Amino acid sequence: MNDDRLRAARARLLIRRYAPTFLYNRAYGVNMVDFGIPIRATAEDDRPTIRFHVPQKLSQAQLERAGIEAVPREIGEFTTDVIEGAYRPHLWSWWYYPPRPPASGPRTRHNPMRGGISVSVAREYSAGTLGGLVRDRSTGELMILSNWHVLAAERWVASGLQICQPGRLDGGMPYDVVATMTRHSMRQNIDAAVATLTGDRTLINDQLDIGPVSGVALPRLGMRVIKSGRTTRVTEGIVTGVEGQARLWYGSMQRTIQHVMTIVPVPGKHEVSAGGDSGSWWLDAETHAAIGLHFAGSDHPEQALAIDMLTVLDALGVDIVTERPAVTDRRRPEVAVREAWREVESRMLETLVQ
Amino acid sequence: MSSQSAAWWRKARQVRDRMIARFSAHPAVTNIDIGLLDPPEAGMIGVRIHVRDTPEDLSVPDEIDGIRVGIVRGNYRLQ
Repeated sequence: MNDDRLRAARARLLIRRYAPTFLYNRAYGVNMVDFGIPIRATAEDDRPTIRFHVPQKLSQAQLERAGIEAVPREIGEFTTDVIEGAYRPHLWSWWYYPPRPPASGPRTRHNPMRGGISVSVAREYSAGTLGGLVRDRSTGELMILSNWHVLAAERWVASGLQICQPGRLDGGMPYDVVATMTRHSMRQNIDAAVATLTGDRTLINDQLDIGPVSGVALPRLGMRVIKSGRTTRVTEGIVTGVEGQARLWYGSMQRTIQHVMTIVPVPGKHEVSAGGDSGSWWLDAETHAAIGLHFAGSDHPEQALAIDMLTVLDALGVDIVTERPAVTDRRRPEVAVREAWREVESRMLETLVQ
Repeated sequence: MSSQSAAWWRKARQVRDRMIARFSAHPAVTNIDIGLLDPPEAGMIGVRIHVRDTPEDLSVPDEIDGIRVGIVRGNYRLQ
């Protein structure tokens, strides 16, 4: 055993023997005794020594006035040191530190609610994005549409799970329950779910900082799109891939998701989405028709994944609620292009005839 | 950008399905779709196999039935 280790062992024995004398005697005002590097103005010996931690260092005269006993300058072979340290437990408690949501923005409590704001399962400490307003095709009930992993997040979830706004991670409380999970489409390999509104708060057809949704359309390569999400708020992107089949980890389980589109940031922008944006609706930037339900992304390179909105709506048996008759464009990319060419050709013919 | 004909899209979907059957079980493959191949500036559209990292054991043909096939990077996670 070398000299330093022997010295430490001797210090440990002395601390064990003498520490209770100083810790449990209020006359000394000591709150900790340890073995460590001395913090002295003039360090003659900077080897570790026995240290007394006190709330405040006082001079001899101040000690006498306050009626506090000075700690010994030496214990055995060790020249002691006195350092300042007032310690208390760093407890986190709902009682003392309730989570405070920010004053405004997507993470706050909204009434009326709209797409692009924070939402989560009431018993999960998490947050995703409330996608928007849909209506059940058979019952006519008004519902929230978001991802399964936002509104359910459990493998064998039963309907009736309570949903709160804002999400628990953003300060949502049990009294912020606004909907109950009704059904999902994970069995069809689509990460989507709907929750029926309780009626405590209204949900309007509006995407935060974007505006109302005009309907639904299919994505097309090169389409410029926009979304409002809980974390990155309003971002713009370009569709670079369609009709994909992705495989992702859901907790400890890998699942296949179908009808996936890829979106990259518009030139000059570096961010398209981040954690907490799941459930956002991607809209055609020109028409504001919903084209995709955001659910995943990657950082290097920055890309977002969304599920074709028409497929999501059909799988869940719901329709987007719009003030005006919803525009539904079910044309596949090639059909749209063919029709666009026909229009150009007919215009050319008209011009030639004139 | 979507200026391909209906016949091209039919063929591209067939190739994509063949790629899914062949590569979707590969641990590095995260997504298979139809889209803009690398480099995006070239504007070439084909079947894309998204992979995490750089798998050495994944060999993909450049073209199948006249449809370009390419590997692009994409390490996706739920958001």
